Amino acid sequence: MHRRTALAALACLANTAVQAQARAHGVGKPFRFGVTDVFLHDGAIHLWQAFLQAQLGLPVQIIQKSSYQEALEALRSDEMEAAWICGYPYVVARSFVRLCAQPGWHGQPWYQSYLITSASRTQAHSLVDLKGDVFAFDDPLSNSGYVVPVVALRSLNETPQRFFRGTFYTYSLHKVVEAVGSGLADSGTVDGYIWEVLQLRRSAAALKTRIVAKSRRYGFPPVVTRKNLDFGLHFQLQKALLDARKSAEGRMLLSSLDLENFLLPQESWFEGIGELAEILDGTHPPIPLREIYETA
Amino acid sequence: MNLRNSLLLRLPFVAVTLVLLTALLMATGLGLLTQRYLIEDVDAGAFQAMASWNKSLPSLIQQDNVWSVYEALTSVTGADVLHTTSLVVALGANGRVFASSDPRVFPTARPPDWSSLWAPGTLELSSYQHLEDRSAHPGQSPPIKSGHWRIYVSALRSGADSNVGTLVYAVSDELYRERLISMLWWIAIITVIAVALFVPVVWLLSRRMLAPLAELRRSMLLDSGQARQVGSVLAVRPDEVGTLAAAFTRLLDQVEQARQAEKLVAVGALAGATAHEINNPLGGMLNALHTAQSFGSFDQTTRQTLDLLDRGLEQLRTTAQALLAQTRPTERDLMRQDFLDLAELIRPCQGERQVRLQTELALPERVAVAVGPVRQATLNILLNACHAARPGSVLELQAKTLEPGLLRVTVSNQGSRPPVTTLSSIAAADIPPTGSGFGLWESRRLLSDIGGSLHLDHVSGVTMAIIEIPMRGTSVAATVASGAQHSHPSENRGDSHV
Repeated sequence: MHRRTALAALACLANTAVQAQARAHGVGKPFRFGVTDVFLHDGAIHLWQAFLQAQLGLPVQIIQKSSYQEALEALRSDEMEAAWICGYPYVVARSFVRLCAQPGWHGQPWYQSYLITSASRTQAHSLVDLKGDVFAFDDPLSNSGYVVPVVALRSLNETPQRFFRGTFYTYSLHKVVEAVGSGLADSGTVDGYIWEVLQLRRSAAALKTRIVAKSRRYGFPPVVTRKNLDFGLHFQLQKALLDARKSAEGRMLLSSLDLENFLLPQESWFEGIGELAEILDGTHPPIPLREIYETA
Repeated sequence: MNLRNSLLLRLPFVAVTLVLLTALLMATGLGLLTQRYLIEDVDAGAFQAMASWNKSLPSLIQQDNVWSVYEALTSVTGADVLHTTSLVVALGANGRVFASSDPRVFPTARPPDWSSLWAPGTLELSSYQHLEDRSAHPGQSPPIKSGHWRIYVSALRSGADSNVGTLVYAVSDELYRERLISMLWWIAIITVIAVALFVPVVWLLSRRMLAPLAELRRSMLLDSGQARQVGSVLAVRPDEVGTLAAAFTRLLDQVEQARQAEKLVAVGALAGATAHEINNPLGGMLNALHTAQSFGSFDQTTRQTLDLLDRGLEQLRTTAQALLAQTRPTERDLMRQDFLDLAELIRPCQGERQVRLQTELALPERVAVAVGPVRQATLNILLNACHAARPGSVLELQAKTLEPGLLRVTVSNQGSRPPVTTLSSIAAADIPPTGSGFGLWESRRLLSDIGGSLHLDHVSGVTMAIIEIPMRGTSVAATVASGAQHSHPSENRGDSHV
């Protein structure tokens, strides 16, 4: 068989497989993809929808959840087929979700958690300097927006309630930046990816903040599917994401998210977050603060 | 005329001033009303926002959701604290700041420092009578004014009695100042346009309305003929200027008439003076002529010549008398003293005839009749009566005033009955009697010139001459009526009466 004939046959098989998966998922039933406030703007939702519909050949419904808890509940209760969630929620929900694809920021599957404070506050250089602050968290299930600083406080034998004068959740990473930038919070914890993108886009709120400390590298928030999702659809989504750069819709999506590409995920990338989760659960002893936060 | 005192300038100026004052008052009133309405709008908007916050914030505070409270607050005030014109602070039940729209001024979880909103003694409670439904805002204070802030305070309650916190909302005057200034500019521009439009119109209209008055005023500077012509044209107007012009024209006519009258008076005075100068020597000449005719003996030719001369002189006398009657200068009134003077004048006759004079003067000090004729006529009659009186008898002189405006002088003497020629001389109209009776005839002439009369009577040896003269300013009808009322003695005797 000629090579060209073989490729044509594979393509035909693939197309047939897509149509078969569509039939298996149910004709006319939309593919539901969940997002949270990890996204920076609502325009990305339409890009996600356009990209996925083009690649999956299915109607796609983008469902935006206000918290990771809601997103996990939706995955657990089959309200969504897939979602882009944070690393810690994935670690928590391993029993009913599986890794599908890993966004590559600067081509790498890593990101850092930033401690930020007001740009005018030049004397704060570590978590210790933030004692007595009003502190802004993102989400109780956010790795960068909650778990990392709380575990760091464990290493100081502190709790947020004792260490800070007050705390609150914004349930949005960029709102943490706004809270610190406006002065509502004296300091906060935020996904490094979000803060860097906001800085890149000259966000007024981000420009009013500065980094106090950066954490170790942790696995970037992954795209997951529920475990009971049909494998064919799971692999089809995975293939679409991995090949995102090959399509115009994919490139537009990646560009709007300031991402390089999607990577094939590996469980080992989330071992650091797993360790944090164990410390948080009390099944792992606290680790030194310097192993959590690098210098700013 | 000084222009500052001219109505032609003052009235337009007053009208224009009134227009300006009216425009100024209206602009000021509109400005104040606009400011009031804007403040009421601010209050209404603030109470509406407070009502909304009162519903949403208590549960968020109870959930310890600082960010959502912040978002709820900044959704009204805006998050840009550098340009915000309002400020809102949500206090927790512990009195600390739960969240505020400007966390840098009111930091979260700290006791509030109100010094940026008010200082002790600067708060002024406003009335909120203009708020239609106060019951819709329970637990909410009326607006509080502090500096350039209007402050609203409300208790945040979760249930009926569950106090969750307090909400303090401050709105800067800058919120409505820009709109107020914009509206004031519009009011000012419209006012200026209205003034620029109406002031010239009012000025021109008032000047136009006063133009006839100005024309009338200018006509007063012209000669009477031109002034009368202008006045006649303006007199046809139906307004006050027409009335003034008509009055002015009448005044010009009266002035002209007075000028003519003055000329006539001057001519009359000259004629009167001439007549008076002629009359006196003429009287003497006639007296001498009559004496000569009565007692002299002349040939026929001389007598005819004397008669011709008599008629000629009499004609001259008639003419002179007529002129004197027309132009007689105003004589002074008769005084009571004049009768005493007459008594003195006949004193030589009294001594000669051995007659005693008895006077009875029932009249005021001054009687409004011409003194000359009365005095002369009375003297003539007194002298006649004195000469006719029986020696040793009493000569009586009575003078009294009768109502209305009549002077009666009575002279009576005891003696023989006067001759018939003497009695008839009184009735003679124009021709003087020859011989005796000329004095009485002359007296009657003098009295008739001033409207008076002379009556002579003789009863039981007493001869009585009665003079009646109407006083000046008394109508003829009144005099006649008086004469009827005061019956004359002759009416009972059928004697002659002139």
